[in-house]
Amino acid sequence: MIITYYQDKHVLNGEGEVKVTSAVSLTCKEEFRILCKQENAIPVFNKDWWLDLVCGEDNWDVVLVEADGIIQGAWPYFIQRKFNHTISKVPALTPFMGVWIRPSTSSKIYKKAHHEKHVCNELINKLPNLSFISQTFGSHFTNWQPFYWKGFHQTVNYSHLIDNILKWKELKMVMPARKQKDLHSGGSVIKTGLPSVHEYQSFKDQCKKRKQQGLSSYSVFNKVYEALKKLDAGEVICCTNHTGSVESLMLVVWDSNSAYTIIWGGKDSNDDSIISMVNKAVDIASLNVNKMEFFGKLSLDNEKVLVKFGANQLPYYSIYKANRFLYRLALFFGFDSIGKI
Amino acid sequence: METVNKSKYRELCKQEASSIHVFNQAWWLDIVCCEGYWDAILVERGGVIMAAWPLYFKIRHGVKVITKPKLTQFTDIWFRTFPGQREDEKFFFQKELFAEMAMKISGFASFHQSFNYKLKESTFSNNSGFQLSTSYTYVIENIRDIDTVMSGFDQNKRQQLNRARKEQIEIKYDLPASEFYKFYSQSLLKRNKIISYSEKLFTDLYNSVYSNRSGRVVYAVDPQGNIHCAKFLVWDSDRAYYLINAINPDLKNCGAATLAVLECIKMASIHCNTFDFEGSMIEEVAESFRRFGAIAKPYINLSKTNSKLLNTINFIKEEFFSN
Repeated sequence: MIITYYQDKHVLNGEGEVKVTSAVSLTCKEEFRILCKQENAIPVFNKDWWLDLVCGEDNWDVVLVEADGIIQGAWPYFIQRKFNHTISKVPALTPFMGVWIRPSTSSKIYKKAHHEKHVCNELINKLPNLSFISQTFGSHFTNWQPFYWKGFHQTVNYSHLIDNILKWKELKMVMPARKQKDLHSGGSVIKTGLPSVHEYQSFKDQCKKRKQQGLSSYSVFNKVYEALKKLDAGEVICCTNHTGSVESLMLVVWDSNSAYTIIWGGKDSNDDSIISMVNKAVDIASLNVNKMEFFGKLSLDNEKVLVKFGANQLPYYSIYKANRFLYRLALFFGFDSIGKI
Repeated sequence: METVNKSKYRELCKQEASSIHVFNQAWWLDIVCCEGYWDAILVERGGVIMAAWPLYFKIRHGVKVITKPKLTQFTDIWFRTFPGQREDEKFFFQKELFAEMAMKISGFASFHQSFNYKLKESTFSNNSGFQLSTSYTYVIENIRDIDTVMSGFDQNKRQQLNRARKEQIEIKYDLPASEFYKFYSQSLLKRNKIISYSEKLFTDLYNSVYSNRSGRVVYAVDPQGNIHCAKFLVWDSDRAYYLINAINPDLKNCGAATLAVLECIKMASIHCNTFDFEGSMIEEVAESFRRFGAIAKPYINLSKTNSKLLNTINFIKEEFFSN
C-alpha cells in the first residue's frame, strides 16, 4: 500500500481558502498504472493495459521500489494458481517482461551500477512467496547478477534487432528477388489482419507439435488485436498457403522506442515467406519507430538474410527460481517450465 | 600424451602467438592441466586450421569430465580471420565452425567451459545441445589514460590510496614464487580457507610466465617490511588479467591493496589497453571491482552433463549441502 499526499484548497467556514493535505491510499497496481501513463520508457509488454489483456486484470500484480516519493523500479508479474501453489511465468504473446529501473542521475559508472543493484534487490525482496517464478527480460537488461545473488538461475535466448529500419528499407531493394516477394509466391499469400478462429486454432495446433510456445487462446489474441488497432500500436501479419491454412504468423507491436515482432511458424527451413513478412512488418512499423526486434525461431537461411542486411543478434535472458522443492525436482527431471517463446 | 591435434595446436600457438590468449597458449596448458590432460578440437579446411579449441580432461568421481584448469579464467576458441571478410560472413562462419567442433566433443560425463567475453554470445547456438548461461567479469578499458582511470575510482578507493600513502606503503616487484605461495597460503588460512593448487603448479606457472614475459608479481610492504598484499598479474596483447590477489586480512585496512591494484593497472598499460579483474560473481568482490570504475562484461558458460549419476550428485549437493 502506498500513501500519496496531495494538497487541495477548500473554503472553510466561508472564511477563505485553506490548504488541506489529504492522504490517498493507492495500491502498488494503481501506482503502477499512473507510472505507465507517465513513463514512455516502460516497454509495451510491461504496460498495465498489455498485462490486463494477456494476463487478465486480476491475474497480475507488481512490486514497486520508491525513494523520496518517486518510483525507482517496478516489476510486474503474472499470477497463476496451480494445485494450491502460486507461480509466475511469462504470459502468452509476451516475448519479455522483467524489471523497469529508473535510470540513475549520476554519470559515475559505480553509482549507476549500485543504483541498479539496490533497486533489483528491493524488488526481489518485495516479491511474494511464489512457488516458482520465471520471466524473460528484454535485451536492454544486461546484468542479471543481483538476481544470481538472490538464488535465481538463468539461460540465454537470442533475438534479432534492426536498429535502423529506414536503412533496412533501402537495403531491401538489393535483396534476392525471392526474398522480396510480397504477393503470390508458390501459392503463399501474405496479408495483414486477424485470421479466423478455425485458421488460428489449426495453426496453434501445428505450433504445439513443433514445440513453439507463446500463442494464447483465440479470444485473448482477438482482444489484443483489437486493442492494438485501437491504440495504433500493432498489427498481425499472416502467411497462408493455397488452401488458406496459416503457415506463419507475426504479431507486430510497437511503443515509442521500438517495434517488437514475434514470429511463429515457418513451414520448413527454406521458408521464403518469413523475410517477405519481415519486410511487411518493417513497412508498417516504420511509420512509428526506427527500430525493430524479432523474437522467435528462425531458419539459418532467414537468419543469414537478416544479419547480412544489418540485423544484430542480441542475447536476452530467462531468469527463474523454484522456491519449492517440488518445482526444483521437476526442473531436475527436465520439465522445462521456463516458458520462453 | 601427445595427439596429432595437440601437436598441430602447439604449432599454431607458435605461428599465431599474438592472437592466442595467454590462457590458451600451449605452454600455459602444459602446466595448469597437470591433474589430467589437455587436447585440442580442430576444424581444418584443405589442411589449414580454421578453428581451434583446447580442452582440459580429467577424472572426477570416477568419470571423465571436461572442465576449466586451475588458474585459468576462460577457454578461447581461436578462429582464423580473413581480410575483407564481412562481419555477417565472419559471424556465420564462426557459428558454423563452433557447431562442427561441438559435434566432435564426446565421451564425457560432464562438460563445463567459460569463454572469453569478446567471443559473441550468439556464436553459441541454442541447438548445440549445451546449456548456456551468463557470468560477468569486470574490466577497465583504455588504461593507457591513467588519469581517466583514476577519475573513475570511487571515494572509498581514493581514501584507501590516501591511507596507503600516510602508512608509507611501498610497492615492490618480483616476490619469489615460494614466498608468494607461502604468503597466499597463510592469508587464506586466516580466513579458514586452503589454497586449491600445489606449490609445484604455482612455481612452474610463475617461472613460465616470467620466462615468456607474460606477467609479473607486484607486492606492497610497510616500513616494517610486512607484506600487506601480493598480486600476480599476467597479460597478453589483448589485456592484462588480475590472476591472483593475495591479501593479509590482518592488514587489509591500510589501503595497500588499492595502491597495488593501481600499480598493476599502470604496469599493464605498457603491454595492453584493458585490465581484466577476472570476475567476479561473488557479490562483495564484484562490489569492490565496481568501485574501481570497472564495468561488467558478460561471458558465456557452456555446460552439459551426460551422466545421470553426476547430475544426481550435483542436485543433492545443491539441495541439501549448499548455503
